[in-house]
Formats: sequence, structure tokens, C-alpha cells
Amino acid sequence: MTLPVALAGVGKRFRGTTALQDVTLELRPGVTGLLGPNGAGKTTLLRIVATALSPDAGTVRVLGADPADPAGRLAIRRRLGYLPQESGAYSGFTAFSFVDYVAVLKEMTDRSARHAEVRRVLDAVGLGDRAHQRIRALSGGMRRRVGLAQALLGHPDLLVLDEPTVGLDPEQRLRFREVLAGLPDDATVLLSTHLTEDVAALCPTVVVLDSGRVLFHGETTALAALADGRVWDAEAPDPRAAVSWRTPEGRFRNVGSPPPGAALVPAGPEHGYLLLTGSTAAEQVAS
Amino acid sequence: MTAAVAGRDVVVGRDTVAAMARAEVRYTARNPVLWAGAALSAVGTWYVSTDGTFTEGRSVTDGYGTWELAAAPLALAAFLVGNWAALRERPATTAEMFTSTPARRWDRTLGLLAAAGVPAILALVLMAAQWTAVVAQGGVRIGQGRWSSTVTPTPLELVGAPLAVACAFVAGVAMARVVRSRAIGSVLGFVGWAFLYVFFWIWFTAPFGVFAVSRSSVVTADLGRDPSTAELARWDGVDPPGAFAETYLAGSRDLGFHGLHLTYVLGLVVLLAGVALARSGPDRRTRAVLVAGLLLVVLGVAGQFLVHDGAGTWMGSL
Repeated sequence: MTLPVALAGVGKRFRGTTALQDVTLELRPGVTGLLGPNGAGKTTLLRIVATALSPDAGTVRVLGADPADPAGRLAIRRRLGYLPQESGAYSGFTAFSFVDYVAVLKEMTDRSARHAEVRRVLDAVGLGDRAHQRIRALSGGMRRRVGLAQALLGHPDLLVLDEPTVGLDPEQRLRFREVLAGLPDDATVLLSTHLTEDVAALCPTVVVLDSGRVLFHGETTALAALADGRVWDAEAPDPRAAVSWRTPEGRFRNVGSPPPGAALVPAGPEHGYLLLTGSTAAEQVAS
Repeated sequence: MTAAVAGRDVVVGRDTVAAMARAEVRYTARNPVLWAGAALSAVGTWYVSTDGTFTEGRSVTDGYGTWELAAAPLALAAFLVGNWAALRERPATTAEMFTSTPARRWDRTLGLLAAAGVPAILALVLMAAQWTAVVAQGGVRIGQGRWSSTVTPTPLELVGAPLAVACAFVAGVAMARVVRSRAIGSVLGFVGWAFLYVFFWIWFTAPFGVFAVSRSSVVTADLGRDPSTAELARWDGVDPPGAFAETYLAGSRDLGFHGLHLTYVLGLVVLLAGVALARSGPDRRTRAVLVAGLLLVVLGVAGQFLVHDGAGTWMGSL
């Protein structure tokens, strides 16, 4: 079987800063979450997979094609949906006309079929009743959903979503999860997020990236298992913990090597993630 | 889905580019700035068609010489609409989103360039209205007093304004591909437009007239203080010495010269389109567009110099 995404030894630098270093990754169909602190290289990795950026080193195969080859790149783009971190949209356009324009760029040339597809994706993201409102009149969350709608056009085999839930309220996030749950089983989704709860809810597999390197790639349950027996509750931050943060109840959650008799709590993916990435990510989770 | 060009499956097919062009045509046709420009041009057309500008026999430069001047507001609007449409894409947001679609920036620019037809058609409609009004009044009078004649504008003379307006739209797109700021592009466009239209008398002067984007089919010549009768009779109209000039200024419609001038303007449109495409990413077809534009420009310019002796006279009448 051809792997939807296969990276080998991929590296990328921006003006002396290493964004990605020797990244080797193979993704299978299904939803994969990409976790990592700010500056970990998540967006760079997604841009490379989405053919928006070329790596400096290594090989990339997406949907069985080589994005460095023009024909391969076109073949990939025909089967790809991409939501960049800052999706933007033409503010003077209506949601319908903007998504319709992207549909044209995606080679949907039959007008009636295209319009039906635009209506489908707008309904899927809950914007069916706002389709003919100008984008400048939509809220930030709605604009984000317009971006998501264009990514869903044409039932792509590979969906690359950079922080898709940013700006969405809880109800919208639930709807987003439903949208992903409704995708065909053979579709591949790679989404980056800061929210480990999104990963827990959506992603059977997860990749943890930090400082441009892959720290973990496996099942989300395996990420949680990394922290089994290593998360405890205490009155105060424990100096033996790798990371500690204050819970809403005013107590402290510690992750690391627990002291004898510590009040252990069940581990989740966020705890495994924190063990891997340390205090930088802890600040994000706590916030 | 569409089939790409046979044997070169690295770019989107023609039907995708056609669909993009149709979309851009729709957005351009709905643009209120374009319609505001068209409305101002319509007022200008109505005014010059009814106030006797072309029929009463005025100066050879002020009358028929300003045949295309009413299209000036539409040309400015076309530039702005083309420029702003090309700058809808922001590098970090929409451009990033579109990068992962099959249609490349080059294809998107090509689709947008096709929308130049919208302002061009508006200009053609205005010119046709002007032509109809003038013909209904018996034709155009060139010159004044005893040295004047009346001619009927030809269909060729309807082409100049649409070409100039299309040129403005394409220049707006090209400007956007070179200068990414809407504000700077708009200011530069306005300055260029003012140079081309507000100071229109510059284009009655050689050799600048050869390079005008918009001018009538009338060519002028300074006959000096004491031309012979035969020399005066050679021209469609002559302005006798007056408050503005101490010499006889003659003007005649020269359709051959005008045709070559239109060839030059068409070349300019193609050349600017080539610049816009060249700045939109690599594609082997860009070179052909640039070469075609350059050839038309050279042909048009060289032809004008060849058929009209006065075209090369520094600061002479043209």
C-alpha cells in the first residue's frame, strides 16, 4: 500500500534557524495530530506536506508522488485540502463566492456541480445559512470555518490542517470533530494543534515535534501511556517533577518521577506530551 | 475535474483557466469602482457628443484630436480594479492557501488578465454611443473656418479607447505583481494616468505622440507662418495663427498611422501581460507572450516613424 505521507531525513532552515531537522515520518490513513510547542516546526512540516514549501534536505512523498517534480506536485494538489495557519479570505467576497473561487482553482469547472459542492462544504462547517454574507461581516470563528470549508472541497484524500480549531467556540469545535468523523476511512488527515484535548478526541495517532525533531510518533494511547504512574496531585509544585502546573482547583499537577505515597492521577496524552517536551509546553497546557 | 494539456500534465487544463477567467470577469463586472469610472466616462461621452466638440470645427487638437479623451475615468478605474484584484491575494494568507491548489499563481494571473475584456467592452460601448451620436450629426469636422472638412469616423477609430482601457487594467495587474502595496500601486497608477490623460497635449508632440496610450487618428503638423495654398489644401483641417500659436497648425486623419499606433498599444497590452505573468512564477509560455508583445510594440513604433516624417522631429507637432 502506498503511504499517504512519507518523509525521510527532511530538514529545513530559515536564515540560520533550523525549523526541521532530519524528520522521518510515515503517516497512514486516519487522523494524525501534530503536537508541539511554539516554534517546534509544526507549520513548516505542514507546509512541506501541503507542497507550499520545499525542504532543504531529505525526501518527501505525498500520496505516492514527489512534490519536487512538477507533475507529481500537480497530482498531489489535485487530491489535497489545505488550511493554513492564517487562512485569510477575500473580505469583500461572500463566503459562497470565496469558496466557489477556490473550487475553480481546484479544477471544478462544471458550474452546477461546483455550486452543489460549495453548498455541501459550507453546510458541513455550519455556514449554510451565512453563505451569502460578506466575509468581512463574519466573526473570526466563522472566517476560520470558511477556510475549513475550502479545504474540504472535492473530498480530498489528504487534509492538512494547521491549527483548525483556533478561534472556534466549544460548539464549533464539536461540529469540527463531527466533520472529521464524517470523512471516509481511507482519507488521511494531518492536523496541528496546541490542544491536547483535540488530539485525545480526534486523533488515533499523534506526532510530537520539538525544536524541529520528532520526539514521538505513535498511537495517542501510547503517548498517554508514557506518563502512566508519573502524574500526581499535590498541594504545591514538586521539585522532583519535570513539569508542574496549577489546576483550576488551586492544587498542583506534577508530571515526572513521583515521590513515594504520591496521589497518582490517570495519565492522558497531555501528560505524555509534557514529559517529552518539558516546561515550554507545560506553559501552553496550563494556559 | 479537468484534463490538463495533453502530454504536459504539469499544469491545469484550459477549461480551468477558462473557468478562472469567467470568475474574474464576473467579479470585475460587479466592481462598483469600475462602474463609477464608466459612469463618469459616460457623462464625458455624452458631453463631448452633444456640445459640438467634434462637429463645430474647433482646433485640430481640441476637437477630433480628443476623440478618446472621455474614456479617461474608465481607464483610471480599470487600472485600480485590476491592481486591487491582483492584490487580493496576501502572501501569508490566501496566497498560501491557493499555493496548494492545482492552479498556480501564473494560471491565476492569466485568469485575471482575461477580465481586461470587461472594461474594454464598456469602453467600446461608450465609443459606439459617441460614434452613433457624431455620425447622426453629420460627422466630425476637422479644423476651423475655411480650412476645415467633415469626415465620418471609421470602425477602426472605435478600437483605440477599448485598447487603452484594457491596457490600463493589465498595467494595474502588472503593477500589483511588481509593487505589492495597494496604496503605492494606486498612487503610481494615478500619476501615470494623469501623465497620459490630463496632460494630453503632450501626445500631440513628436516623438511622444508615437508612444501615447490613447490618441485619435488625427496627426498634426506645424506649417509655419506662411504655408502655400497647396500645402494648406493637403490637410483635412488647419488652425490659423491665433492666441495660442503664431503658425498654422494642420491636422489630418491618418488611418494608416493610427492602425500602426493601435498595433503599438496592442503590443503594450501584451507586453504588460507578459510582465504580469513573468512575475507570477515560471512558465515557458511567458517568453512567447513577452516576445509577441515586444514585436508588436517595435512594429507599431517603427511603423509610425516610417509612415510619418514628423514623428521623429523633436518637439514637433504630431
